[in-house]
Order: sequence, then C-alpha cells, then structure tokens
Amino acid sequence: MTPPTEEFVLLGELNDPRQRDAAFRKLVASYGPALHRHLLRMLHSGADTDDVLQNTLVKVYRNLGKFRGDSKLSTWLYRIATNEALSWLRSNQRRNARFSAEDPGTIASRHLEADGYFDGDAAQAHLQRALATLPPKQRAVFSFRYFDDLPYREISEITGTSEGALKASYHLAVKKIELQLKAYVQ
Amino acid sequence: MSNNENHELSGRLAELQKRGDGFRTPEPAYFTDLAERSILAGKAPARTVGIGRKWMSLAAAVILLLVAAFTLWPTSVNDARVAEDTPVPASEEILAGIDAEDIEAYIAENLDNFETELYSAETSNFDFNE
Repeated sequence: MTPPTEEFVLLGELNDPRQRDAAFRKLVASYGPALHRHLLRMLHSGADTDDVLQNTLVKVYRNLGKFRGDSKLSTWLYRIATNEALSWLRSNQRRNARFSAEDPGTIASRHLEADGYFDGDAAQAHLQRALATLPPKQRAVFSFRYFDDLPYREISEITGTSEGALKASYHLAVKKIELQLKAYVQ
Repeated sequence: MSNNENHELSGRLAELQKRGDGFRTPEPAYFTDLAERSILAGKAPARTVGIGRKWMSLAAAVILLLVAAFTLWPTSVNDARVAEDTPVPASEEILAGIDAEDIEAYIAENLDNFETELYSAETSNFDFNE
C-alpha cells in the first residue's frame, strides 16, 4: 500500500478535477492488487471478483468528492469493496439456496479448481475451502486479520464493528477453521 | 504477526499463514484496463429512478385505482345483489385458464421477486413423483 506522504499527494490530485483521472489510474495501480486479493478471499471466484472490483472502483470514482480524509484512503477503499462483496454474496446466497444444496465450502472448492487466479497447493485450497464456510462478515474479519495483518482498530473502521466484537469474531473463526482443517486432513 | 494482537493460532494455521493465500495477482495491464473501464463507467450517468418518475408512477397507480373502483363499485341494490351472487373464481380456476408456458415464463422473468420461504411453504407446487 501507499506510504502516508504519497497518499497525501494522491488525495490532492484526486481532488483536482484536471488531475483526477490520472490520479485515479495511480490509485488503481497502487491499491487494486490488494483489493483484488481481498475480494478473491471473500468470493472465491475470479469472475465474481472481476465484476465486484469494477463495481467497487466505479463507486470509488463517483464518490471521490465525498472522501473527507477522516480515515486512511486504503480503509475507505476496503470498506467500499467489503460492502460490495457482502451485497454480492447476499444475492448469490439467495440464488444458491433456490437451486443448490451444496455447502459453501464445496462450491468454493469447485470454483478454485477451475480458477486462473488460484495457484495454491492442496493445504492452501483446504484453508480457502474452510474460509468459505464462515459467514461472510466473519470471513472478511478473518481475512483482514490473518492474511493482511490489519490491526483491529482498522478492521473496526472498515466493518463498523467494535474492536471487542471483532476479537471475539476472529477467535471463533480461528476455532472453526482449525476444526475444518482437521476434518479435511482425516 | 507484527502487531502483536494475535496469540491464538495453532501450529498448522501459523504455518499456513506464512505461505500466503494461494492466489496470484493479475498483471499490471489488468489494472490499467480496469482503471479505464471504471473511469468510463464512472462518468456515465448512474441509473436511478428520478423523483419525477416515481411521482408519475404513483399518480398513475392512484388514477388506475380510482377508475377501477368507480367502474366496479355496485351502484344499485340490484348490482350489489349481482355482485354478491357472482362467485369469485378460485386461484386454481384462474390458473387453469392460463397457459403453462406463460406461467413458467412469468416465473422465470420474476424469479427474484419470489421468496424461498413461500416456495418451501407451498409444497403443492412440486410433484416429487415426477
């Protein structure tokens, strides 16, 4: 992610209509990879990630004027991306509940096998499969904490949940994933 | 973990954490293209239902209701008797008069408006012996 001084310069350019588009390109080049990864862990599908990331960036572009700089730029971007992913998952769950009796872990596993963005080994596939069985918001919390090493304070700003609740949620997620991993190994 | 807030990872999870998530990041060209598409889409007017259109729809609905009430309301004692004597067709009768293909097409087009709870409650919709 971008160091604070560069972020400050970028924000200045984003607020200048003459430099906005060029600055937005820089923003996507700098933050796009982290957002893409976060969405892959949330959605476990490259095609869905492509769509949700574009929806996120269109929203970001349209709302650049509303960003007041109260939080880090990355926090704001993660918040929009996470909300977009949660809405996407909600509508997907409604659809899947009608047409499929498969559990989310099996669906994620099937998607990962065919996904061009996943090149992990069997153990990493098991971890992603276990991650997919968590409720979406808990999945986001686990992903931010475990993979991105974000402090609870920042996750709290992104998700709008208290730090105490996040710690409990992460602790439960770890327990659930450990159980799942044991089951896959046996 | 660098920020010292994470103490509860088992050996297996701690080991997996070091190896990453298994996903690869797309090439820079992907993000260049994505930025261009997002700028284009961001500049296009967002699809929203304007307040004027909303009010127009509401006014049209009220007018239709008034016309329907005026036309169908029994205006005399005889009319009222006729209305009472006329049997209201049951849903099954109404559905029997509609072509099955039309029903299926309607359901397919409006699937998102149906609640799964209603489906599961109405087991008679499904013939499990088929």
